[in-house]
Amino acid sequence: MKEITYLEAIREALDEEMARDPSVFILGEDVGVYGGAFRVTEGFYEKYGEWRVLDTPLSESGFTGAAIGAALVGMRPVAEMQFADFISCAFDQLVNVAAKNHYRWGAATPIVVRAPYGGNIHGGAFHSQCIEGFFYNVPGLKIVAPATAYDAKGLLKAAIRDNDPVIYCEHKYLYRRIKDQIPEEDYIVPIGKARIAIEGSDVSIITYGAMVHTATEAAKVLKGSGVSCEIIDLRTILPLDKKSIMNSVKKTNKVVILHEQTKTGGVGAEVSALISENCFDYLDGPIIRIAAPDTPVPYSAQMEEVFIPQPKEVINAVEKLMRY
Amino acid sequence: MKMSGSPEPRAIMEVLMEAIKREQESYDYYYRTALQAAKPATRKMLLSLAEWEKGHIEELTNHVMELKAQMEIDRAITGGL
Repeated sequence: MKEITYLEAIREALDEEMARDPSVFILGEDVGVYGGAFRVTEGFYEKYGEWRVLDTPLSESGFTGAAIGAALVGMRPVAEMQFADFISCAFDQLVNVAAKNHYRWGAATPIVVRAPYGGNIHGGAFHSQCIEGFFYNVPGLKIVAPATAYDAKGLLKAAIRDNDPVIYCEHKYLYRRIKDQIPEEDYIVPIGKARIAIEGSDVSIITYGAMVHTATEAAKVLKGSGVSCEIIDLRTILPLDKKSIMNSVKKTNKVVILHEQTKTGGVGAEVSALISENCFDYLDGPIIRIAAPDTPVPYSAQMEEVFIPQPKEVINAVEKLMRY
Repeated sequence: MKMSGSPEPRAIMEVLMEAIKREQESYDYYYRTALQAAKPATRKMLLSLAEWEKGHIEELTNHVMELKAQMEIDRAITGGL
């Protein structure tokens, strides 16, 4: 075992997959000579050369289209959005081309789009967005959002080996702030499988990405007052691991859904609807959603702190539910 | 939040690095002296002081990690300007 950061886990996954499979290559803005805006691909250009680490023009639509084309002829490209916010420029390629190739022709499109997303980094409205909701009702796409370094590596490897297009949401705030013990040997984290981050019996907190850590902080405080929280880290948000969600709800009978993405039409809305449809009889109280308000991400650090869900909000929600 | 191009984060980083260096020196001093102590009680006290300094190093290292993380993000957003 060795301890590495979330960012190093992403780098290792890319490096190992490129070493393992010559069809894997990287493309994006400044991923080559510069090593990526966040230095994830530092040294890759020197190690793998210009044909496998492609610096592209500033055109998300262009390089995503190029990645799709390469995938159709047998390559496994990993495209990097410098910031997930700019993925909107590649929306057409992802939604109308990549997501539909399999349905239209039975053609596999094994691309991974790395999307550095999320706030709490004082980046303002164009560098902090959670983008998973933009793609959430697009059949044919998969979306993963690791919360730990272990999952960051395992999910990226799984995404690269997957035959469907995968949007890999990597949280910028976590890059150099969290570390994990990682096995030396090769491993993957299967797409579509949630994990129980903390086992508990009184209330389920269903979440993903950086909010797993917010939920964990809240759970520690709540434990002090005798409340046992179960934290479900979704890991894959499309497709959802319905079984894990339902099992937890049936056990605790109380649900808080927590995400950093804005509230309306978010992942939480879907999870909430699924629980209502399948587990209504098990619920002891209302499903509570905690999410960012429906506004752009503010630049001001003070306003951003209000915008992004904090442990206190989780604690308040759980305390409210515990009265049912 | 100041951007990484401004002197503030770099100055804080220098202070933190200097603090870690001094804490390390203190740790080394207490640990070395503990090994030379004849009385078990003295050795125990010095080792406990060394552990205390180690705690400071860990705390300061966490601050460095946090500051570096934010500086890297700031640099990515501004392109290092």
